[in-house]
Parts: sequence; C-alpha cells; structure tokens
Amino acid sequence: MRKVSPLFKAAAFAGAAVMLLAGCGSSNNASGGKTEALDENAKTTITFAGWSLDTTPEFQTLADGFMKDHPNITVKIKQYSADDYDTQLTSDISGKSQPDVFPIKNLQKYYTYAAESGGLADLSDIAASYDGDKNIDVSQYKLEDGKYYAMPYRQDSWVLFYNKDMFEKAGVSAPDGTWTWDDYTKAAEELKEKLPAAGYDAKSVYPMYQHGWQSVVQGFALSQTDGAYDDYFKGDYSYLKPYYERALKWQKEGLTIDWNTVNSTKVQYQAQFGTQKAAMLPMGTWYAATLVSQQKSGDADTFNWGMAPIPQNPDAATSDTPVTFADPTGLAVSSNISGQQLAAAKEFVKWASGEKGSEALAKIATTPAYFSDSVADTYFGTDGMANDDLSKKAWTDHKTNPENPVGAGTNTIQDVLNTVVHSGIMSGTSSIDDAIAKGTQDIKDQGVLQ
Amino acid sequence: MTQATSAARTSHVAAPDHSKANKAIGRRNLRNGLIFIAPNFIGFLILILIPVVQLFYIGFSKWSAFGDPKFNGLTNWVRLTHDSNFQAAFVNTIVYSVVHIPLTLAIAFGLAVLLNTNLKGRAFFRTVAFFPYITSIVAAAQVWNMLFDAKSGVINQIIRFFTGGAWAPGWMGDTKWAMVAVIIVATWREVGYFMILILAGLQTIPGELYEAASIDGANGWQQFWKITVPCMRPTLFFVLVTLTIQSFKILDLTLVMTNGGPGTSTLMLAQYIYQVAFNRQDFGYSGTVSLVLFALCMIVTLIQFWYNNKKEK
Repeated sequence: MRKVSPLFKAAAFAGAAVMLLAGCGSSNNASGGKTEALDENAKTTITFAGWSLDTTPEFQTLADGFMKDHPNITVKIKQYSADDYDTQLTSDISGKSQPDVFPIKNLQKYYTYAAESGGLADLSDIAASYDGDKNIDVSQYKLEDGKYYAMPYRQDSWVLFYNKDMFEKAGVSAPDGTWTWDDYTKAAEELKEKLPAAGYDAKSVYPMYQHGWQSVVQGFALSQTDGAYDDYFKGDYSYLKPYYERALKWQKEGLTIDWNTVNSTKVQYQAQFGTQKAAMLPMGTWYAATLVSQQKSGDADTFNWGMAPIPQNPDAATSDTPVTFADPTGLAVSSNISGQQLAAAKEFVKWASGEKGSEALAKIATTPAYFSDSVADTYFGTDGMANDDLSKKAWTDHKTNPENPVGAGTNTIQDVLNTVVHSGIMSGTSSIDDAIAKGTQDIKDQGVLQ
Repeated sequence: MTQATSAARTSHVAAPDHSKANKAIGRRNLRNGLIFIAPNFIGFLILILIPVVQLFYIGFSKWSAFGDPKFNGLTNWVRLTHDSNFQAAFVNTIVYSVVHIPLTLAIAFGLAVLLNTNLKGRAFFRTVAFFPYITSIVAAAQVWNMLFDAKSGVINQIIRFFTGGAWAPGWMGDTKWAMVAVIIVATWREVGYFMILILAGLQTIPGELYEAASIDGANGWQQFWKITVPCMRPTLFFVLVTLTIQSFKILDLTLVMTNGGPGTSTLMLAQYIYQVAFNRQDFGYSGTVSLVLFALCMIVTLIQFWYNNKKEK
C-alpha cells in the first residue's frame, strides 16, 4: 500500500480534500464579474503571498508602500517556501484557499493557473489602463481569450555582468554594448590568456561563468533566433544547435567551469562572480541587488562592476535594441473574493505594477515592471549600484522576450528540453544532434505539440 | 503494509474467539480490537487507502490538479508504451533493484553473522554499521558527491593511484557509472538497518542447535546452511519484502545525488512520477505511472509470499 511516492499521495490527498470541500462549500464565482468601486474609507484586509521574507524584502516593501497610500487597507503577508512555492500554491488554489493576492513566478506555470484552475480573477481592466503606456509591457499575460489574469510587478531581464577591474588589469577591452556571442568568446579567450599575468590564479579564475540552468543556453537561443517561438510548439528545436555548440566550446576551452562540476559541487553563481572567480556572468538583473548587498556585507569582494547588454546572436540581423529574455514576475488576484476585498486586492495589484510600486521596488534595487525615467534614476541612485551609461542602457533599453512560449504543452516541453536535451548535451553524454532528436521524439510522444 | 498486516492479524485473533466463546465476549473483543486499531487505521484510511483507491481513477484520467479529473480511457496507457522516459525509468528501477537487493542482503547477512560472534568491540562495529542509516540522506548524498567528484574526488584519486593516473570512472557525469555510484551509496546506507534486523533474528536461534550439530560432526558451513538459514527464513522473508519495496520506491537518494541524470541514466519511476505531476502539472498521467509502480511492487511481493509459503510447507 505504500508503494506510491509519498509526494504523489500528498497531492492525491489534497485532491480528495478538494473534492469533499467542493461538494459542500459555497461556490464563490467572482472571476470575470463586476468589481465594486474601491471605498477608501472602508476597513479592508487582504492577504498577500511572499517567500523568504528575511532575504527578499520586496513583499514587505510593496505592502508597506501600499498601506501608506491606502491607510484603511491592511495587507497581511502569508509566507511560503521559496523552493516549493508553485507546489504549495497549486494545492492552495485547488483547495480554494489561495491568498487574495499572490505572485506568479514564471510564465510556464501562469498558463496552467490562469487557463485551467479558475482560481485567478480577470484583471483585464487594469491591463486596459496601461494601453499605450510605453513604460510597461503587460502583453505576456494576455491569454488566447484576450483576457489578463496577472499584471507584472517585476520585469527582470538577462544582462551581462562584468568585472571592470579584471578587464582593466588584464588589459582586455570591456563590453561596449555591441557584442555578439562571438565577441564574447573572443574576449573570454583573451582574458584566459592575460588574466594569469595580471595576478589572477590560472587554476581557479575563469573568464566567464555559465550557470547550469537550462535557460542559460536555451533562453537565449529561443529569444534571439527568428521564428524560434513558432518552432517551439511545432516540435523543431534545431534553433538550439548553434547555442549548444558555443556552450560546449567554452566548456572545452576551459573558459568556464564545466557543467558536471557546476552540478555535482553545486556552484553558486553569486560566489563565482562575487569573489572574482569569473570576469563575466550572464545573469538576470535580479543579481544586481544581491551583489550590492553582498558587497556591503562582505560576502562579496569589493570591485567595480557593470552591466552590459547581453551578447547577440552572431547569425541574426543586428538591431539597435538588444534582444534578451526573462519572464516577468506577476501578481494575480484570487477569484474567491468579492466586494471591497476584491476592489482592494485589484487596487494593490494596480499600485504595485504602476509607477508608485516601481519606485518603491527601485529603492531596494529590485528591477520593477514600470520603467519611467524617475524609476530608473531611483534604481541607479541606490548606494553601491553600478551607474555608468552602459549599465543604464543594459537595464532600460532592450527587447525582452519570454523565457518560453506559453501554452498547454509548455510544462512538458520545458521539462523534456531540460532533462533530455540540456542535461544530455552539457553532461557530455550525448551529441547535440542526438539529444535534440531524442528530445524532439520524446516531446512528440507526450502528445503536446500543436 | 505494516498497518495492514497488523490490522489483519488483530481480526484473525478476534475471529476464532468469536466462534468459540459466547457471542457477548466475542462482540466485546471485536469492539476492543477495533478501538485498538482505530487510531492507526483512521490515519491509514484517510492518508493512504482513500488516495490509493482514487489513484485507480486518476490513472485513467486527464487532470492538472485543478477541477475534476476527466476520464480518458486508455489514452494514458497507450502513451506509456511509447514514452521513452518512462521506459528508461522502468528499466533503471529494475536494474537498480536487481543489483541492490542481493548486494545489500548478502552484505547485511555477512556483517550480521560476523557481529554475532564474540568479536572484540562488536558493539562499536554494530553502531558504525548502523550509522549511515540515521544520517540525513541529503547530507550523506552531498558528501558522497564530493567523494565521487570525477576530477578531485578522493575515490578517483585512489583509483588513479592504482591505474597509474591513466583512467578513472566519470561517476556522476557519466551515464554508465552514475548508476553504479547510486547503488554503492544506497547499499552503504541500508546495509546497517537490515543487518540489525538479521542480527535480531540470529539471536533467536537457540545455541543448543549448534551444539548438537557440532557434536554430530557438522562443520561451520553445514551449520550455516542447515541451521542458520532455515531458522532465519521468517526474518529473511521480512527483510526481503521490505528491501524489495524500498528499492522499487527509491526516490530521495537519486533526487539529491543525481537528479535522475546525467540524461535519464538514473531516473527512477518514483522520480518520474514526481516530475510528471509537479513539473508538468500532468497528474493524470503521473497516476498511470504510479499504478505501474504499484503493480510492480505488488507482483514481486506476491511472488515472494507464494515462494515463502511453498518453502514453509
């Protein structure tokens, strides 16, 4: 009887509980319904989900800022585990006990929540209020039915972090904002040659650090290759090949720690770049806040650093706006609430995604979703932040594509592309062609292609 | 399993009473028996039995954990037949079990026999052998990962010493060796626990049997096969069944050590079930895979029961 995995049993039990509750609970269908106008004088309390509150100040910052502007609304934060957030949220939504406002960590899960759970309220009216506003892009949350079930409050994007001191000491020219991945390779090879002479330990210091995640290779391939988003659901993953060829080359030439070591010794990218073991690091802008605070606390060395636009696809037509990727982090509202509570929850989402919430986030060096000039000034005015022109350009001026297209098969496709393709190629167990062929076949066999 | 057997045993005790003594006593005994098993059984019912029964429906449905599962007949089962990840996980689980079970059993038995003798400091060695079992699996897996590190790990340094620095396995980074590493760690971890069980069994064998045998001129080897093994059959049977089920269900170790990789070389059924359910949000199909694992454990256990009954007769 105990042969099924305990995790699955827990889920099945949660499911059983839901079915029982659903039978006798009152159905409270507020999704898509009309929202009452917010009454600023009514005392209202809304709950808001967050994780790792000690190390992630954004939730408290948003709650405090909003409560200051709306003194009669209380925002109570409900803490979740950072690692199991989606698992916990899934069981909460299926048990109709989700908090009134909750973050959506990535687009991959957003589709399942929005299209299938029925637990998210329609936020199309907030989306409409951003029509024609160039400072914010909400389009990634638009579903096929034209409705929006979440609004972004953070829009990180992948940039190239680089250690200015290491470039200077080695006498290699730093990124200038026009780099392709070939330029990136060339600079890395030059660094590899010159860093030891500049006093860096040849054994432990690398020109770059490529983290082990699937997105470090596949995110760029997908966002920087023409037509890749269409190929994705058609089951054609050949766009990955040039990116994997480069990734393997870097690994082979010793320009970065190899993938197997990264995984088996659980290398942390923060330590690798923060203690000057790597001169360049492609990473999301969320790392800037961590680096600033680690340099203050002494967990990271003190050195000059900057952000450069992410290198571009050398095989694609060049454009003035660098193309990068990242999923927005969104806020969704529960469909179980109504009346003033719903109005307050929606107001909170509107506030957090708009300029005021963005100002509050920028103050704690968190990349918000609303990029007005004053938000940018606040962000780069924070103590310890890089504030040269290239960093500002990298942060504000880019075309950010989603990490993966959003659709019914996304969860499965991403999983196969990770376990079969990424892990297969990077660990050296299969050739690029074999891994892509096997992954493609696997995805076809799962029956999720359109 | 243990709850089920203990429940079954209790009702067996109540049944003969019921037929022999008068009805009032029988009813009272039944009631008391039920009260005694209730705390355990209610938990078992709600947390295990109901979900398992539900699984038989979920496994034939499409379900994303939201809303109700939609019955879709044999679609999931057809999908199993050409799902190469499932097939890899199935084969890996079998390979793991086929190697791990005899290995663990043999080493545990050997250690138990050794530690049952008048060895100096045997209490110390018993503790040492049991230690891995009470160590946190996550911590142990991390340490083993470092030991197995292909470049700088201690294990490969020793191997290179013998091969003259020329060759050493790639362990976690190599599809062929990752499974070997997992089996080594799993055996290291579980041997102590089964050794204790076997040791307890060994100590129930009366010393007179060995005494009589040695007077009759039986040597150590004969004593082992003619006395130790037959007397140990109930214990060995229990050990074998729990070991088999544990091996088929292996999840935590590979999850922490290799996360199923590289590629799918150490992907086990239990992990695949988790992956399909929570990464792909496809609870229906993961239910189908769970049923396969359930059937696998069931069949093997039934064969073991049948064989044991036959031997006891």
